[in-house]
Amino acid sequence: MQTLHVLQLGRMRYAEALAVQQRAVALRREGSIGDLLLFVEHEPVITLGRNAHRENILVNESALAQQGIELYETNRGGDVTYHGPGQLVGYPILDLRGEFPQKRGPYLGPVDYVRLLEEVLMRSCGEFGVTTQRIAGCTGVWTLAAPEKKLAAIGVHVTVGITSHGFALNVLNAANTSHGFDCIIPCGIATRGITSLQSEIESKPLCDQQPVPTLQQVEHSVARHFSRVFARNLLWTESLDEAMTVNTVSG
Amino acid sequence: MPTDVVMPQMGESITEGTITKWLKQPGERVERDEPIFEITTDKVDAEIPAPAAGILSSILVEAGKTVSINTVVAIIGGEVGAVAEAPKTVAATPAATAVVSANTTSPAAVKSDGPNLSSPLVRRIAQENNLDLSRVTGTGAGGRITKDDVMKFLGGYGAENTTPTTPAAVSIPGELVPMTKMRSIIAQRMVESKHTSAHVHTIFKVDMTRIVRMRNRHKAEFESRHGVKLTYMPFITSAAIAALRKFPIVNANLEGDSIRYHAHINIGIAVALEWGLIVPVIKNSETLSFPELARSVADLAARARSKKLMPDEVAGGTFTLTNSGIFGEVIGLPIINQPQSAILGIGALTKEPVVITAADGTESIAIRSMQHFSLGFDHRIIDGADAGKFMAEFKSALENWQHGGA
Repeated sequence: MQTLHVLQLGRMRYAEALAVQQRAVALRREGSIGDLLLFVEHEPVITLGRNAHRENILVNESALAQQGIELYETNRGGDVTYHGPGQLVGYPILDLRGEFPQKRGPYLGPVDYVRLLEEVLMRSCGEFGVTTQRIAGCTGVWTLAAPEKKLAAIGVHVTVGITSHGFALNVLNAANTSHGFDCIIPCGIATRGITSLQSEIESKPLCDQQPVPTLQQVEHSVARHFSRVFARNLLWTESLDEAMTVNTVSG
Repeated sequence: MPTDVVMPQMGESITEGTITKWLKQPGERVERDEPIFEITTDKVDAEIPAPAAGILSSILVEAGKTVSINTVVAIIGGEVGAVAEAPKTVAATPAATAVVSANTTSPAAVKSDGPNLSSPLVRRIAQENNLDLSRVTGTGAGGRITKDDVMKFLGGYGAENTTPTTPAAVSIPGELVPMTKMRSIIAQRMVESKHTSAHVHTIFKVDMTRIVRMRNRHKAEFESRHGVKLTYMPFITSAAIAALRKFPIVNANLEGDSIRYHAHINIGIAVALEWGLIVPVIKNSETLSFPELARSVADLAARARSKKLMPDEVAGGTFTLTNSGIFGEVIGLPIINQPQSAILGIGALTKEPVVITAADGTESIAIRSMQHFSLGFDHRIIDGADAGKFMAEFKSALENWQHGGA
């Protein structure tokens, strides 16, 4: 089984995390590291995907700056989204041409990959007692009860078989109650709202409530389900450089 | 050797992708695996690498267009700009143009001076419609004639059309013969029946060995004594009558909100004719002896074939037998003859290896004469259990034939 390095970046500004991500993509591309899963919690930021429509940002840039929210244009798929504290962001850097149980050709189809990311997140949410679903045509992880609310957003980029960007799972209320989501129409979907694991858990009757997990616990859960769904051995690592040495040793 | 660049498959259920941006322009050199265009679909933004190194000779699908997977979107290694002047290059990549033609339209219509460029698909459509392609203006890359162009020219163009349209109302050679009266009645009544009854069919396999032996032993004697050939039909009819006596619901029919149980068993026997099909009826069949039954069957069949049946001889049936096995058919699933509620289909009589369990429990394989029977019944009044019991009784009557009749 191939190895999956897991690297926790902790709280980090978007630009800084993007630099780490870009370096990871370059290293993965030249084969210096194996598949990698980056976890990060961003400082408040609004990012625009390749298909983003500016009109889905409801306030101007100076208003955003006043609230301490940065704005970035990225090359991931999808529309506009918000990242901030209380939200678990994952950037899987995978080579889609590698071994995957679900692979049906020379590479894992990028859209199939997105469906699998949903699978990972749905399993994790289920572990914390929150049942979720997919909605056809609306990539992401959604709650069951109508109107469905988005628990996790997905937007990826693939270059020469290497994936970047990834998913954002709202764990704590800070993520969805932040003013950040009010400034945008998330993913350009105006009809459905945003929620978090915490508010989903707390909206249940008290007797059914599981404890609200910490970001760290969700991180571990997602990593575990990621390794199962994509058939990878987990290897926690402290830095990209450590991942490189491990790769050299094992390779 | 030119290499086609195709729209890749993004996922198992994904059939198309949108090109968002060309990262390389025609004439630029690309290395193998160097990203040359970007596509987007379903929250995935992907840069597609070049399948080979070479000069990007032509872009066939512009940015912003959505094309199905495996569509050729560009060509690497063809001669740059050669597409318009040198038909040879195009001829070398017929697959490319064929696929692309349905999807590409470059806004700049180029009128080529040389022979018009087209794909095999376009040429086929042209040939099928007796169209001279030189009359069509190509709007595709390098002035080639796309399918769109041809379809527009022919006037029969639908935007979603991906298959060549076939000319409407083609008359196929042949002759138009009006249906006979009998044919149209059969047509009408069969459809009526299917619309009326809730048809269910159950199939039983019956060991006819005993009957076969008995018939072989007695047929000469029977014919000389009763003046009629001994066929299997009277045996089958007799067994059906015995079963119908036991299960009157199979001999009943639905009348409004009630079920009418008939006092008599009037067995219709379907007789195939050169010109159709007719079902003469043996009235009060439960009162007939075996030889009388045999004579009735033979008599009605003969008169049906010689068109000598009286009108009342084809009416009043309460149950029907239809022998579809005479042509070797294993079993058929007959349509109920309205307003009856059940019909018994008779399959072919064949010899088969069968496992026989003796009284002491020992098992052996024997050659037995086997025959399939199917009961088509109206589930509105007959349940599967009734039908099953009826057929079990029918089977038992044949397998344990007791009548001294023959």
